[in-house]
Amino acid sequence: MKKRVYRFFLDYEKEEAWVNDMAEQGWHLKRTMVGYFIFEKGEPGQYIYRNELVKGKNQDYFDFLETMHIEFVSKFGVWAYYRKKKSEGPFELFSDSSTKIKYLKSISRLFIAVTFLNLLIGFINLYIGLGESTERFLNTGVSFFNFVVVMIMCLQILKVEKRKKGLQRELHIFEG
Amino acid sequence: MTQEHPPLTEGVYYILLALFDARHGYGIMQLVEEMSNGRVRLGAGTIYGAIKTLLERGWIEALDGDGRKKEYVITDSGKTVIKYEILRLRELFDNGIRITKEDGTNG
Repeated sequence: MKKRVYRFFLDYEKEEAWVNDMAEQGWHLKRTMVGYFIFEKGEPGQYIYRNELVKGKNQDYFDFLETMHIEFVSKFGVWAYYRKKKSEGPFELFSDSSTKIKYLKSISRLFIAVTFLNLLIGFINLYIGLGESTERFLNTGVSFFNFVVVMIMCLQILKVEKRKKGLQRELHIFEG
Repeated sequence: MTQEHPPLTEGVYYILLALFDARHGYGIMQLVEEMSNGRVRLGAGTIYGAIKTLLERGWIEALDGDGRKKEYVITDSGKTVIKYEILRLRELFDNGIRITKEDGTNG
C-alpha cells in the first residue's frame, strides 16, 4: 500500500522529524521531491531516517554509506534521504561537534547562495517591472516572489547559524 | 594549538587504534563501540571524513580490495602519532590522579 503526501517544509530538520514520525506509524519513505513524498506501508518503527545535503558528494561516499548498513532511499537535487534499521541502534551521520559544524557550514553556504541569487533576480525583475515592458506586471509579480524567498531563506540561515554557534560554544569546553 | 603533536579527537584516536588490524568502515564503527562499551558511536559521515583526512596525511592506507568494501590499515607514521597521543593522555591521567589524590577527591 502506498501513500502520497504533499507537504512543504522550510526547515529540513523538521521535515526529517516528520518523516521519522511517519516511519513510527509504519509509513516508510520511498521517494521524495521538494514537497512531495511517497510512503510505503510496512512494519511500524522499523527504520530511522536521515536527510543530508549532498552537494559535492560522489559515488564513493554513497558506496561507503552502503557498507555502513545505511540504505539509500531517495535523492532530489542536492538533498538525499537514507535509512537504517532501528534494530542496529541509533543512527546519526555525524557524531562529533566539529563534523556537525562543518556540515552546517555547507548548508549555510548553499542557503546564502540561494538568497543572493533570488535577491539579484528579484532586482532585475523589479527593474524590468518598473520599465515600459509589456510583461511588466509579470516581472513585478516574480520579483515579489523572489523577495519573499529571500526573507524565508534569511530566517533559515539565522536558524542554521544559531545551531552552529551553539555547537561552537560547546567546543570551547568539550571536545565534541 | 602550537604543539608539535596536537591532541587528537576522540574519534580519530579510536579510528587509528581500530586500524592496527585492517578493517573497513563498519568494522571500525563496531570495534570502537565495543572498546568504549557503547559510549562512542561514530557516525558514518564522521568516519568517512576522518578516513579521507587520515589518508591524505598518510596515517592510514587503503588496502587493495574488491573496491566497494575498502579496508584500511594504520601506517608507521600513524603509529608514531598514536604513540605521542598515548604519552599526552598519560600526562593528563597522571596529573589528574596526583592532584585529586592530594585533595582526596579520588579516594
